[in-house]
Amino acid sequence: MATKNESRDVSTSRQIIVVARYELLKHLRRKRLLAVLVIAALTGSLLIVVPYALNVPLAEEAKTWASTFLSFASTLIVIVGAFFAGDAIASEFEHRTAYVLFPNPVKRASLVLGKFAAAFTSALLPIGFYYALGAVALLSIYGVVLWEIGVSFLYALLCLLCVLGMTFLFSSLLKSSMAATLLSFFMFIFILSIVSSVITLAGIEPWFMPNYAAGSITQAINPQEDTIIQIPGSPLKVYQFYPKFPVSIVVQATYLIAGLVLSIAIVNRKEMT
Amino acid sequence: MEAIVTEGLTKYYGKTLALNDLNLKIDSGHCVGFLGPNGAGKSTTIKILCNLIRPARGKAMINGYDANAESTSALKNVGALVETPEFYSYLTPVEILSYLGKLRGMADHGLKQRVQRVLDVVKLSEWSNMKIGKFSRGMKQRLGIAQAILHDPPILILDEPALGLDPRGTYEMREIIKAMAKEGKTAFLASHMLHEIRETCDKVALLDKGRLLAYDSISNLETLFKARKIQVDLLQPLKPSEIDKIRGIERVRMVNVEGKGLIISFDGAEAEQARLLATLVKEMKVPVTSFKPSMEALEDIYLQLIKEGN
Repeated sequence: MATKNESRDVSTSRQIIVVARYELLKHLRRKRLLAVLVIAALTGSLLIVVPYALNVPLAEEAKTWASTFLSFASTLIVIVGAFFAGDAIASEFEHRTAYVLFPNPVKRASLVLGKFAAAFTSALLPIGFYYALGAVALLSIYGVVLWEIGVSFLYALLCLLCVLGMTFLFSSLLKSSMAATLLSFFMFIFILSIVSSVITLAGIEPWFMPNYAAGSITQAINPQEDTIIQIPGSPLKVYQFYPKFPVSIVVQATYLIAGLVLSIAIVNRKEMT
Repeated sequence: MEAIVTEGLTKYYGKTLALNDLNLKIDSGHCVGFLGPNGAGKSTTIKILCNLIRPARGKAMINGYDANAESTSALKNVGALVETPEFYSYLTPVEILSYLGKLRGMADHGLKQRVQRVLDVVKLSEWSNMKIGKFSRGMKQRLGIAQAILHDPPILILDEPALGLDPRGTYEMREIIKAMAKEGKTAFLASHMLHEIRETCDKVALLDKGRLLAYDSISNLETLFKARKIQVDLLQPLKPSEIDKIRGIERVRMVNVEGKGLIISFDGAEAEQARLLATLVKEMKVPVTSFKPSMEALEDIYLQLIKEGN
């Protein structure tokens, strides 16, 4: 036995880094990272190869092609976010690992932030890979690499942070990792899309919806103007709105901060009964 | 100095009262056993001390720090094992211990050595690089003990530490606690196993239905409840007439034959016990091979108190 207490004061930032490192190890050792890399590679390859295989004429402009290619990025972000963040908090309670982790002199906020940093870093890999694939394809097909791809990538990162923030909130709220993962996935893919569509049908721009704000990923490459189409012989109008840059940034940042702050507050209050 | 203090600690689970105004003071350097039947509130107390749950009323203090409001300061000097520990299945014992050590700010160079040392202590060195997902319950329990002693804490809080351990593991766990107690560390040990408490602890707190029924040294409790019993092993069984003679010794309340030996209940404290043994060996020439305090005494107190409580 040692003769003196081995613990030393350790800063919060140091603890966040330690948590992030071991969470990263978790993501690297599990098959989820491989799975999302395969999804990114497969989808990207299909979007590149299928038009050639079916003799479908390619878009004339590189921007249009890039915009089409990157329209899948927001879906990939949701998949990656749900995969890496869905079980981040819930699994500690579900699998009772918190009995070992929580009785340590570490703030629960540090644990949440460390896990968040790890989820973000892990998610960068497949998203970065997808963007790299798009850039390489763009260069081979059109002979150019658009600088807007870089801007779009930054919006993709903001979108990822927003998805992670919300998924962390679900993971803190729910007892089951699977439930949190599925809720996050269905929320962003279906529920929010339906709500946004209904709001748009009513002629209101859904600027406050995170999935709508995520449209800035493609809007950064190929900006579109809002349009209102009057259906001939009918009082009905079809509205088509596109996210505006300053607003979409603020909206996604708000969801990120709100999700993360609420997640920390819930984890702080949550009991291991 | 008091290492652990609970003041009016009360906890409800829904409408069920799990802990009822628990007041407990554990001085530094003592090993205190926390006894009680299932649902007595032992784990609830330990969870509050480890900031896993919050009390409805009252507070729990560790080294003067509020275990809930100042949990990082309070837990700095604590090594805890709560319920059956579960670990990340994708990590190895070396990795999980390194993780927890780094969270506690243990320096890299010392940490590696310390990890190997505690894995040696809990006899897990052989599996130090195997994924925990493949571990049995007993191996996880050993690892749980390893993480509790990793930083050589001055205070140990253990909830059923022998759960899932084989007899050798139970013995080794007891030896670890005894060794820490010898070093002047404080141990708070919740258990169903009276034998474990008797062997390792100098004081015992008896809890039932969330209420503290008794808190004293085992010796004082035995005297108080006239439950002092010794188990005397003999070279050969005694004749009924010889047993009757023993029954006639002053302060002896009851003599039960158990195999070749006897269980003798008597009134009094350690001095009376010494006199009784001297009478047996010197005056009556009873062929005593060994003697020890009987586990039945603590069991009697435990059962009596719970019966009275009900």
